[in-house]
Amino acid sequence: MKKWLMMLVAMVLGLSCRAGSVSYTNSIAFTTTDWTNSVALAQFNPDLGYLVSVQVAVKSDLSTVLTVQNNSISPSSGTAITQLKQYLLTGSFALFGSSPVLDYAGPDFDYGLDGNDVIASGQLTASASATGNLVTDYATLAGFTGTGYVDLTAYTYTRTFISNAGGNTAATQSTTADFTAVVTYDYSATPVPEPSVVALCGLGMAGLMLRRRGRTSHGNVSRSAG
Amino acid sequence: MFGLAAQADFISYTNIYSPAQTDWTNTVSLHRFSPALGTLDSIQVTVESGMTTVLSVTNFGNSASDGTAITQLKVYLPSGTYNLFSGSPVLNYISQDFNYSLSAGGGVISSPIAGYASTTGNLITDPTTLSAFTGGGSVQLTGSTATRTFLSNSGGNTASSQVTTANIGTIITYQYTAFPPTPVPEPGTIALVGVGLAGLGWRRRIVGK
Repeated sequence: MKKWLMMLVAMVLGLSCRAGSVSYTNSIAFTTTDWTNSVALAQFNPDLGYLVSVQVAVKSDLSTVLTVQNNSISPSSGTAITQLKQYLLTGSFALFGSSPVLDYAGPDFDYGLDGNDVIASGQLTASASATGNLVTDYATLAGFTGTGYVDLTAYTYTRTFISNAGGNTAATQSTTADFTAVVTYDYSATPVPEPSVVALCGLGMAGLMLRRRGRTSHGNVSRSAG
Repeated sequence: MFGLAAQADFISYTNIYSPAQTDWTNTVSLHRFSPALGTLDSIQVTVESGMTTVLSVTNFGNSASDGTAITQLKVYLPSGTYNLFSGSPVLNYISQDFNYSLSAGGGVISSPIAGYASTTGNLITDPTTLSAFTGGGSVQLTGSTATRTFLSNSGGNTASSQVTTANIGTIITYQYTAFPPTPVPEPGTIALVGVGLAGLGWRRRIVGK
């Protein structure tokens, strides 16, 4: 009977092993492009449990001013945009499927210029985000487990595009961009029994003990062995 | 222990339209929420688009020209008072780069180049929109595309054009409160109670002997 009860308790406790998730964010503030910067991703603390997977999400915002100059004597009209490519060098960790991790354009700047004229846009903004691969390979999990940081290198590449009719135009941009990386760890926590299970087991134990004490005091012993 | 069963549920419907040559205008159908499931709490639509583009660049100048061409695609999906998306176009994205190097008077055509974008719209909770999306059939919107090329270029006098096919996909997600379900005890609880009863029965038999 006792052995049987122990088995039951062990079975119930075994079911309560839980999955958890923890995220850490690292941001680079708005900086004039093109910049190169270090991105420090906090490692997964092994005290929490066993790491199951790593996934990184990235986000970038740009703020750009476009200047378009018409170098010919005939009028020119068209649209200019700023393109920003965001690279994140992840070394042997296959965190993203492609490089750059983000490749996006600012909003349109529509212009109409006389011959030999120049015009500047106001501040134009855009943003982009992407979620990387769900990485589960052992080397990456080991690389991201610890109490320090994984240092990656991020950099930007910016340029202008124009779509134009007439004239002979050239465009330049002045751009600032920020960058945010969020690393999410899914892990299997060190088993902690659920309170309700503990309470149920406790109640059961208490009941058994009460029963046993009641029996013994009456001298009516008829215990089953084992 | 049995009273905790009422909770929020989600149901999503996906609709992917085949790629068609831009610029196209098409009907986009969003599957309505069936009121048999429960009470609708919110609506959110995700829209995605992929393109395949072929770029041609010609240099009309007397000098050589180097540069990069891209195709820009704008996807419009106006939803009127439903306000499913804040901005218009809902997507505004560019293809991957086509890098070229042309001699004076030269021309080049790219191989097919891809591009992709997606965005998630507003979380809609206003009662008028919720009721419009509840029922049978689907809500019909009109989607359209606008495509053009951009050049970044040094030297020469270049012009570019594109031939592009693009598709649109929508995922509409309804969050709802399901009608109160018939309480079903958890298997673990049933097992525990069953084992307890069996144990008691067993003991009683032994004690009875």
